[in-house]
Amino acid sequence: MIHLIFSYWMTKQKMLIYLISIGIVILWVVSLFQLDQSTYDQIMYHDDFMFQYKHLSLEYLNLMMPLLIVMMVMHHESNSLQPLYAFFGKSKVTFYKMLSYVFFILWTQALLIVFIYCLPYLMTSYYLVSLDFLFALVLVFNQNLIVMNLVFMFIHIKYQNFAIIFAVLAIIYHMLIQDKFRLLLFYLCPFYHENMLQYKYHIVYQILYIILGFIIAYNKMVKTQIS
Amino acid sequence: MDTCLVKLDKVYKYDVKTPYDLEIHEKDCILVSGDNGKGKTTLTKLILGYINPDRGFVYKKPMKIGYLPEHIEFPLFMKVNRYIDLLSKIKEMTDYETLVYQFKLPLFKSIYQLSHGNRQKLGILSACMGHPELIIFDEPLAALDQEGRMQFYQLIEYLKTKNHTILMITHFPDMLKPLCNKHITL
Repeated sequence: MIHLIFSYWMTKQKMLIYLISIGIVILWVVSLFQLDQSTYDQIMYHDDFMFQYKHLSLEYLNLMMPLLIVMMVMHHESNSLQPLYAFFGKSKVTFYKMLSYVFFILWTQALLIVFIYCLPYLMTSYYLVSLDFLFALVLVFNQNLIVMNLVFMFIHIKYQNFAIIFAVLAIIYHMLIQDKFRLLLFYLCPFYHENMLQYKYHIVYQILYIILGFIIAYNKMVKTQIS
Repeated sequence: MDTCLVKLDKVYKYDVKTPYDLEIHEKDCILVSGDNGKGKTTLTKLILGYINPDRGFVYKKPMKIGYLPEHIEFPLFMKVNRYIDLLSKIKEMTDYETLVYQFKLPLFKSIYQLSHGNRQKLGILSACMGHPELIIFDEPLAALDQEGRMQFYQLIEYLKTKNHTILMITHFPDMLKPLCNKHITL
């Protein structure tokens, strides 16, 4: 059923937007490799190169991913699933619909991790595999699931284009907390911040926050009337 | 006596003037007709549980319902045979060849290449798949040509032989009236 639901919402236009966005992210990441620098320089100043690469790639993901996710998820409440609701029941179809979006986001994340985390290992001399960087990537990607939950919860079929507001808010929020990290703000909305890397248990909070978001969004979607 | 599948007991919606009083029993073939804006589609949505009544009660047996909405949407970039295959797997139905044969659909075309009439036929076919206990057709004859309407007529005859319960909403009741045991005009 996940496959069928996926083919309902992944239209040709969305696929095009998706491929272009992923292509841009990959091109951007490759441009951060600094392949024009000599191998000796890369080895000698590997800390600087590494810091720059990590910082810029995470910043770029913070800006790009909410937009991409919102564009993919914004039409989640379409009428195309009505025959399936009638046959299987709304709760079952809604559950599989949410799963289709989660699998899609996890797939995108896995793809980008290959490019961002693994590719520089093969192509540069300064890159050292660091678990902290992987941890930061996972935190950044988890915030996409939070954005997705917000769209699920608040965006109704009548005003689905307003979903783009959540992408803009996510970007503004990220810019606001970049310089002034407040733990309270993190508890309200656990988006990525580099200070979070000091507190490993924050990922548990983030995951529980996402699960709670899913439960609320699921209940809301099951109870919403279909006009 | 046949089991009651759905019962609408003095059900009101604020935008529909007359209340709905309707019982659907097993093996019923019901035709609903009426002018635009009289609440035909609202009736199907009440039966399906998509909307709640403002007053009155809707009793419904938990069951699988095959539903053809007025405006059906498909995954456009999927081939017809792939779509039917996938749907039959999900709905756990293997003997769907008779249905496919009945409508002579171009199986190897993508859905976006189908005409409006052929998409309607595909929608009718999808609603019938999976042996649903109740099948609801909302404007099934829209976009069908004379041949398509005859095919639909034959399909209903075939479904009746298989003891399906059917509810049809149409603006062309004369053609389908002989097949039905109840006719409701809203």
